[in-house]
Amino acid sequence: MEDVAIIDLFFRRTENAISEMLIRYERLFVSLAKNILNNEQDIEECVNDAMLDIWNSIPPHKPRSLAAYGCSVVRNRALDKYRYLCAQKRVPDACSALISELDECIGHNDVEEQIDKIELCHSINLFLDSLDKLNRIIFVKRYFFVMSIKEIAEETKLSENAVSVRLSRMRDKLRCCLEERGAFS
Amino acid sequence: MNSNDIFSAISYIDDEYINEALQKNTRFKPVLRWIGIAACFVFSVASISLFWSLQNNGGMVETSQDPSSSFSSPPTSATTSHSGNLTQQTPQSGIPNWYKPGSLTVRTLTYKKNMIKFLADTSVPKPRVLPLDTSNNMPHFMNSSSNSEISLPSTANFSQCYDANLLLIDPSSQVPGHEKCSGLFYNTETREIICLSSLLKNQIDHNFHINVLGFNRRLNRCSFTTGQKAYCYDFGSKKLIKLPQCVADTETKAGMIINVSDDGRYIMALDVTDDSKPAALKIVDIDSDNIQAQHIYDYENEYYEPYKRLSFSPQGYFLVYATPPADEYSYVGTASGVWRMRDLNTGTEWQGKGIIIRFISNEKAVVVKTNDGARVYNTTNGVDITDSINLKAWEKSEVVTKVSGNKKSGYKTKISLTSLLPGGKTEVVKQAVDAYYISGEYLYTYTTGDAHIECLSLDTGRSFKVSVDSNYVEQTSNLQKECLIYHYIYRSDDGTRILMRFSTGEKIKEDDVAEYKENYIDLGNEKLDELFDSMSCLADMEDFVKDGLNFPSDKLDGRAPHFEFFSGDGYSALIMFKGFYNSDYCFWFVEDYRDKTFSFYIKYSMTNYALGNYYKHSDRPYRKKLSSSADSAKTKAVFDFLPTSNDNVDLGKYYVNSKFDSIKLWGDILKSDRLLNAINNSYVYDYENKSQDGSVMGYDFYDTEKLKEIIDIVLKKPTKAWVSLEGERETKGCKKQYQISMLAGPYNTDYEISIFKLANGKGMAFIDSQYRTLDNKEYQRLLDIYKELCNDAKGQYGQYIVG
Repeated sequence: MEDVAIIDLFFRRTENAISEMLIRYERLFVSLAKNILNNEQDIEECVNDAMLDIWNSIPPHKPRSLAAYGCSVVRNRALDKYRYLCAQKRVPDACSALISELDECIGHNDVEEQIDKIELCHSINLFLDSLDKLNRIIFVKRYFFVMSIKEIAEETKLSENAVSVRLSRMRDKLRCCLEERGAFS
Repeated sequence: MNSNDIFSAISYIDDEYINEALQKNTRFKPVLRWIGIAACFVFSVASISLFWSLQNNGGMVETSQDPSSSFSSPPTSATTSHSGNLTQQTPQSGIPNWYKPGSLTVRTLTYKKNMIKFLADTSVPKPRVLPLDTSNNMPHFMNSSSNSEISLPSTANFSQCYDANLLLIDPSSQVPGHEKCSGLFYNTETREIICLSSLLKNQIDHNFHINVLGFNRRLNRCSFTTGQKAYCYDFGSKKLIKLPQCVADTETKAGMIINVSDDGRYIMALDVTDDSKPAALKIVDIDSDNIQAQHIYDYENEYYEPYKRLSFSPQGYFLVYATPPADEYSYVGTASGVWRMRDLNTGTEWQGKGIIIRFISNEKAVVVKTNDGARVYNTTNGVDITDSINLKAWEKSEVVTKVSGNKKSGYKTKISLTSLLPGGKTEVVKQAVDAYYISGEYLYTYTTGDAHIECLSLDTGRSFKVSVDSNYVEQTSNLQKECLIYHYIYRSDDGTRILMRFSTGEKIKEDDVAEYKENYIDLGNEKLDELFDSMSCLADMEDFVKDGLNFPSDKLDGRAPHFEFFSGDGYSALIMFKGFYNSDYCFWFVEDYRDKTFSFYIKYSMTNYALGNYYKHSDRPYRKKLSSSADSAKTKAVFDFLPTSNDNVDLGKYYVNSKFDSIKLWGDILKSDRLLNAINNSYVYDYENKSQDGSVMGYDFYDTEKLKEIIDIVLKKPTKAWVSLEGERETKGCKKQYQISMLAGPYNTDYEISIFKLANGKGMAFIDSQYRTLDNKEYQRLLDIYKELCNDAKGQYGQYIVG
């Protein structure tokens, strides 16, 4: 079933909307959650919670892209779960290496004030807009979908080294971008 | 603002960027990360956990009928009148004398019948969502001997099984009467719930979740953490004993890895620092009333993946751990991997090397696969006793399992014994089973539809069968028509009892595209194992290639596989591009008539080839004897319909002394003009002379003569001088001075040549992920060339701010 038809089911409050969405996107959602959580029960819980979030948010929200919207919701749920697990400290940090990569995007000066999240997101969108298509795909695959360098290399047909180099350059560029926009004092 | 904020904000990037990344390819393979592997250690389940389905189904809950029981009971209203089965079977013709445990009974867990019907009637089986619709239809188990009924919420799930009896119920299972509890066990023998939350409600803070670490049957003790505290509960004396803080949560630790011995007696705790580095390794033994932590090792500030290197011996007498090697990363799990074995009773240690195959003679000796074949060591002192001990054939063999199948037909496991002796043969023990469990010399197997579990002696090949409850056989056989069935076999520590249960997974039905993608495009590790295992020469691959090419490509989103063929001097190569035509990433199947071998290689990029390895046995290459019927002319005729490949590397030339020298091949390709001829763009980056605002400048350049000279100097040393550095090592004490970046080939693969200044003033070269130190003359000349390149390029062509 196409996205438009599924969204229509949500608007008509037909429960088939969830099963149709799962038929179309379950693998994608599970894969995304798996890249962050990697525990089958947590992943399942995360996708189920995300489905409930989507059910509760459509309507009034009418996403332009069901896949992208679903991915955002699943990613947020997965990160919530991940943070919960990290807070418990019963598991090693699955994403810590990846998050530490993003440390490079932060200036080393003291932060005088926390910037608004919307502004930060806007800056990241502007940064993404400034990238060429391949680099943008690499960045999104790495930091949105939390894919490994190896997976990205395979999918983009670049060497792992090339992907690493490109990511390193993009992190540098993102840092500059955020600094320019006053993200850091 | 911190990196977490950025990571969170990325969730809200524009949809178009997400869709862009999703275009053409929405495939995401599962990735094993620390968490997954560490979880495997903590929750090691003796079954095919690989295929653990995402779906919840089934579970069980106690309904203790004995009010004087020391265990808590749920309200009686939680029980219902529905019936199900928990049955126990003994061998039909008695236990043979050779089965040392003396007896074997099999109990199985089944679902209530109307539950099965519901599943079977569902067109697309999704047991995971069943609980939403079946709140009034709880499945039940029943012990046939007492006819007592046991109610089960359909949301119940299990995360562990101890001694083939005590099932640890997942805390999110919503067991009636225990909705807010954690630390829930179900005793399948007494049909009681053991609820730690209820038992300890006045002794521990009830606000915290109880995480069960392990259970020791002999001591009748269970270890767990709650909040920032860790405890051991003695079910016999009803005593709650505090465990050392090292296994509990603290504010100061970034995280930790916990590993519990199979018998639950020992707990290993490894602190992990904020940057995912290991810190201190400690052991806790719960066999006393004054439990103390024993300090084992302090890791230095080193990036190291300790989860790969920590394990207990099966009986829990020894701990195997590894310390970071000084010069190179040799992983435990390879024949050159170094580890330490610690006697947990005496604290004595010795250092060993190789792959630990098994402990034998009540763990007095250990069989290790080394570069010199199988060796046997005394476990207490590490003395090599290979020549003084008579091992049985199975003890000198390694159990090898291979999974084949797909989501349409299901998966089967082939189990073989491969001798560790030089030239040792492989004997197939079981051709296709659904579930197996191995303990010592005994292999227990089950296949859906069979009326029995079979126990086979790996030593003698003799076997006996124990019947399985007919309800279990019927239910799983019926469900198999609609779902994938995963069986779980748990064996008791003494070998006298087996508990078997099952779960279901989604089955692919009419969707032939999915099956095709699984076989040709996704082609995961297990599929590769299966593919290579079924071929012994290129001609064997004819049908595979033709079937791959004949599939309607319009159904494949432009990702149809592509094949090329090359007939070389003494070898033939079939090259498979799994969905990316002309991509650098492809598979090479090579039959070599010179040494009569058939090999499988993976080509990652123009310079990077590797001999493939079996997924589950990383030391075992995809290389075997070539079929005697193979010959060059015949193979060429078979594949005359394929285009001829332009990529004609003689890979067999690099397989020397049983080893594929990918570094030498890499060097040879770089030294040739292949890379130079394929360069599309090249840039030089000047890290030495940054601009006033600290930016690094980069310049286009087209001087291939200087580039050639750089490559010549850098590759002057034999390739054995090159090392691949990991993680932070590459930046430790190194200062990058200049970098050349070349985009080459049809997909602009990025090749880098850089020079670094080390802390001791010496130079280091980096090319395409490999490093080597430079002598002073080489270093100076390279600096000069790089400077000239930068000066010449400045102002002539494009220049960029790199960072």
